[in-house]
Amino acid sequence: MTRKSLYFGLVLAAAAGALALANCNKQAPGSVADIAARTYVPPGEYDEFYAFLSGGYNGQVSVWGLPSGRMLKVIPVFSMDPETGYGFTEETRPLLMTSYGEIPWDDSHHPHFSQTNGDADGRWLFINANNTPRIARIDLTTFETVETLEIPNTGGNHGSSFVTQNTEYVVGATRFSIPVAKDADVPIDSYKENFGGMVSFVAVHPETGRMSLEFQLLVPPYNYDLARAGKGPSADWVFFTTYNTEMAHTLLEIEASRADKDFILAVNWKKLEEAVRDGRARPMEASYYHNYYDPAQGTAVSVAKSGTRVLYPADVPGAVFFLPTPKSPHGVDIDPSGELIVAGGKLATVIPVHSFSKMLAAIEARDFETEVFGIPVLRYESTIAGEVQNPGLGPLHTEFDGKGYAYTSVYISSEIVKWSLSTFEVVDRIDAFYSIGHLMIPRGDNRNPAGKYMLGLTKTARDRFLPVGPKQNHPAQLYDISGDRMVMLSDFPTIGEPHYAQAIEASRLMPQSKRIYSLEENNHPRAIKRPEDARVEREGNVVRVYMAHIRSHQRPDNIEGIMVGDTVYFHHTNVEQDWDVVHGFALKGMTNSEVLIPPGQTRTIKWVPTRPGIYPFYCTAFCSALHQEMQGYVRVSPAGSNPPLLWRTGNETRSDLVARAP
Amino acid sequence: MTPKIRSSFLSLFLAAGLLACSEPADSPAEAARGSAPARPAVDPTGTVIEVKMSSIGGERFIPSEIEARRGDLIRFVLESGVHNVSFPADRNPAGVQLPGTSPFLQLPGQTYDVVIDFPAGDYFFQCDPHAALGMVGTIHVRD
Repeated sequence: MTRKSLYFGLVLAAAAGALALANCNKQAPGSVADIAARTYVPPGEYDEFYAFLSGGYNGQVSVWGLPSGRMLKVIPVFSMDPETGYGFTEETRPLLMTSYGEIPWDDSHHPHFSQTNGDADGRWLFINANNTPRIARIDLTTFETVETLEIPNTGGNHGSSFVTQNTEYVVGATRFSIPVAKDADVPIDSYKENFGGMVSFVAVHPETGRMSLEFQLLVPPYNYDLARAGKGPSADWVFFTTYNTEMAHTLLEIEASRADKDFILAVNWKKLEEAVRDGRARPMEASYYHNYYDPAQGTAVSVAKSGTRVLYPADVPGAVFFLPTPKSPHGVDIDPSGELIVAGGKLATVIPVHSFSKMLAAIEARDFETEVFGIPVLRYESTIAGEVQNPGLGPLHTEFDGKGYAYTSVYISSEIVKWSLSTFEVVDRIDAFYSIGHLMIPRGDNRNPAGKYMLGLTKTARDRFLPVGPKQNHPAQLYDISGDRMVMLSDFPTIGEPHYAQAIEASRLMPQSKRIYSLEENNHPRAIKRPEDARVEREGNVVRVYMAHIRSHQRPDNIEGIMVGDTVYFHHTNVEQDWDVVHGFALKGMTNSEVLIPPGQTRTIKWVPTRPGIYPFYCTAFCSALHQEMQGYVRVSPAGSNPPLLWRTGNETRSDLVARAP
Repeated sequence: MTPKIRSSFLSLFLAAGLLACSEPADSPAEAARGSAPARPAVDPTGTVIEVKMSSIGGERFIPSEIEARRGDLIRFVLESGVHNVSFPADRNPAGVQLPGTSPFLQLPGQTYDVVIDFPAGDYFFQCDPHAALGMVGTIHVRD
């Protein structure tokens, strides 16, 4: 044996040993394997956080696990969903009702958890509709939309749906100013005379979560962009950003970018509440819809409402102020202590940070620069706590880690900057791929953020994923922010266009997630609690099929006696009480959608047959070994043929002939 | 000679590497598999009692009232539908080692056997997803 070959053997053995070590989880920090391990959630195990991403132009909310980036669910909110039947079934259609009629779509932007003492409490998730102004509430025990409320006197409810510290209110804000009078027909160029802005305060019932439009505040004809309620010392206040203080109504990209500063609108909602109580609000014409799931009926209902109560700033002295802020501000975010008011300016080169206590002192000293539309304007120098220098170009939104740092998304220079809340110095920055909008830290807007991960929601994917044609889906990027430096962990495509998002510890939601709807508590008037109650009934031209779904048949599964000209309602009850055993229903030629029926629920779909014939139907959700056998037929006879109703399951046939006999 | 030295070094390093990685395999699923307590022995009577599980004409066990002796075997046979059998602790005598919950039977003719190795008394059982629809039963056990 030569010395050389011995050395060779040693080297080889050492390399093999190193390779073996490299297969462990304990990796060199920053290595690919280390980063992969930080997002790895083994099969069968659970993620640490639930994340709720708005769907933007898909109108929905999607639910994801973090850190894995696994998608858990899509919750339909403002858009019809043929996958589940949401917006197609008679029980869910009312949720899409507005004063303009039933609207099948909207643009959902800013989800926000209900809060207790400034921390997310896991009860509800609110989200706004940006186009036809609405706020929706999602129940976080069923992960389903249970309420939608239209916001009148509002043109694009963008600065919404942010809650106050104890969910006393969820706020709305008009992006577009519009004529103050309902349905007013005025020239657009009478903008300055006739148009106005409106911010809305929607009260939330502390037990049921039920929303009610409590009062509105008439504000100058600017664009209102985003909002945040204060917390801790500033809990009585809500802050809204404005742009277009130039009051342009055309070519805003130039006309609304002229002023060096626009405003943050600071509103003391406690004082507004008092003013309303004192009768200082003025009635205003309005019509809007309030739609909510009624457990007593097992279905959503639509309630048409009219009239609102509007406060004018002059009626509430000491409650409404402007803070000059550069330059077309977008986001306004309050640090965990409630003292710092952080603005983002779409065209700004610094991040201005206002001080809440300095703001109060300036108000106390009546240290006003001027007054516009009767609203005192504070001096920038009097309220500013500091400016973050070199934050990149176009800072937008800020979240907090609870450890003394803020993280701001910067659109134009496409990066995230981390800066100190005590020195206002940038301490780290990292590229975003590409052009970041919102960012989100789990409960990063709360008093006690869970500052371990951060999600960047970027606007453009370009080359980040396999190309799928001219339009790519929008990416989300996950960062580890537990150390001094931000580390990008993963990059995954989302659905729709997520604007803002929320995330909460999985341990807070998991225990409350419902497994079934109780059949016993199913109060739907057309529910059948026992399969034997399945039946078909005729009421004039309306035929109602009370159908039971149970593995592995529908009851009844043969139906005759329906005529062209009839309107048929299928009232489907899934009589199973077993987690995740869902039955579906689809019938050939139906012009709406399938229906998914979770265990214990009743869902109704309408069918108007237009041709005689035999129509097969089947269970669309794979439910059992004999799922493929779960099928049936409906016979449709010509109009006027007046056949007897007949329904059959196996060898048991029933008919309305007896009932029709004289 | 050289290859032998090489391989012994190699195995040494490999072993070190593997040791650093290994952790006790102790997942809950494995623990559960290993810890099923032995049930007390009972002298079989040789009697088999068949109970149908059916979905046609209502979800039910046929019969739903069963007379049995210790040592009998109850054979649940799926006639139609998807069903299971469970003996909820809160509806049965305390301190008795009840049979475990069966898997879901899905194909007609599938069976699930329960040996009556518990003391005399009345035992409640149900199909979990269909108990609310009345798919429940009782075994009356005598010595």
